[in-house]
Amino acid sequence: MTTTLDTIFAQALRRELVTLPAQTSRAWGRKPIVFGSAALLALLSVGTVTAVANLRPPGEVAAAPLAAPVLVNGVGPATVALPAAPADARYVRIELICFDGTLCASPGGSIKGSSTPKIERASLPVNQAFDPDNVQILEPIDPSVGVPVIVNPGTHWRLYALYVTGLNPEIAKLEDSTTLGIPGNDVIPDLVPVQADNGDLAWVRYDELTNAALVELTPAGVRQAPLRAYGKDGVTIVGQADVSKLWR
Amino acid sequence: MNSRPEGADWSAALKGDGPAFGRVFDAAHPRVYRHARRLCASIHDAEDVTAGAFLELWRRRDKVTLVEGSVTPWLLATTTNLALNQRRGLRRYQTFLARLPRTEAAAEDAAETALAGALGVDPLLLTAIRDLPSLDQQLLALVALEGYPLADAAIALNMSTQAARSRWQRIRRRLTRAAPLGPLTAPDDPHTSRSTP
Repeated sequence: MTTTLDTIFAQALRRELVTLPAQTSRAWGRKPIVFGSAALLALLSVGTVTAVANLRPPGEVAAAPLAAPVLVNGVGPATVALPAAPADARYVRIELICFDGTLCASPGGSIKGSSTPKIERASLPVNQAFDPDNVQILEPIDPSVGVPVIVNPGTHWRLYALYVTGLNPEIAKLEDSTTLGIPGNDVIPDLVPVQADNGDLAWVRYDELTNAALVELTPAGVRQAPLRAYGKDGVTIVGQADVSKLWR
Repeated sequence: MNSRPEGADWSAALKGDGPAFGRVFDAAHPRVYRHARRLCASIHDAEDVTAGAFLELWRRRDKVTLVEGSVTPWLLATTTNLALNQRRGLRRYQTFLARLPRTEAAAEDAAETALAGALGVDPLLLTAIRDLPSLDQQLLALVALEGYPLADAAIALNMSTQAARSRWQRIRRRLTRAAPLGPLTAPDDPHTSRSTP
């Protein structure tokens, strides 16, 4: 009867363990850079976003979406298929906003009650990759099948979903403390990425998209005036973003 | 107890040095695994518990208490906890553990061990240990099974030496009542010394 760890098992375990410090270092090690006033003025004066001296634009400091964010609206229970996951995606980050009804749920959790809107926030794994920082045990979802939207019949909802590499994507901070980035488990930034009407990546106010959205509930879904879309500096208005697209 | 070289490697691992964490594993895993084998009925359970202890070491790295520069006592206490409360403790690592390879030799040994039961611990004692509160299980394992002085075990378990001493006395009384066991010894416990023939 052996009293030493099986060599093959030990080697495989060791290989996995040595990756943990580096993973954590990448996820937690870098701090957002505060954007200096001089740099901000310089950027505003030229009207475009470029790197200035040692300061980088917040859009570069914040983690970028791995693919265009998905933003759809619907009524009642649904399963929203997503584009194929990029190779380095580990999670699909979802913000499910329920504008009425008493249940707002995803495979990651649920919000119940009569207050509205309810926002179910979750990071749903898209593969079996081990994440030592994730204490929630969820089966990976298949993006081609989709994200289950678990709501009461007739509930109006909006799903905002995007692929990410970790639970807490890096967030950039502007001088006035406005934050910009992808929502994570720990931080919800003020500005989040969407695909603007011109097809470019832009940023909209999280509140206007979710808890403070001025919406009209229709039999087909949710209608809302297009939102102002900001550039990577979080200040320059670069266009608008249609947030009323219906899920079909 | 002498200071152990894994202290420096542990510090380096905390700063992002993966190979240093590998060296911590190299230094500590033989003892962790032997301890897991004592408490687990099958070799595969012991493997899972060993892996789980190191994953817990990393997940709870901010809370790990070193004893004279060594993470081993903390690992052993965690191993005890995982081995005796295995299903709950290892649940979060199911996916990870399923990926690790199991060899045929280990499977054969697993069958043999399953017949023989846990290694090196009186079955009566093991049953009695399972009924103890988790912290008592960890203290007992460190002191009675692994030979740590009560003072070191107390550090590893974040309690005062006095608290560990009274807890130890309570464990002894309880186990003596529960099973006809020989005397439990702690290297630095005067009460235990008196009761030892």
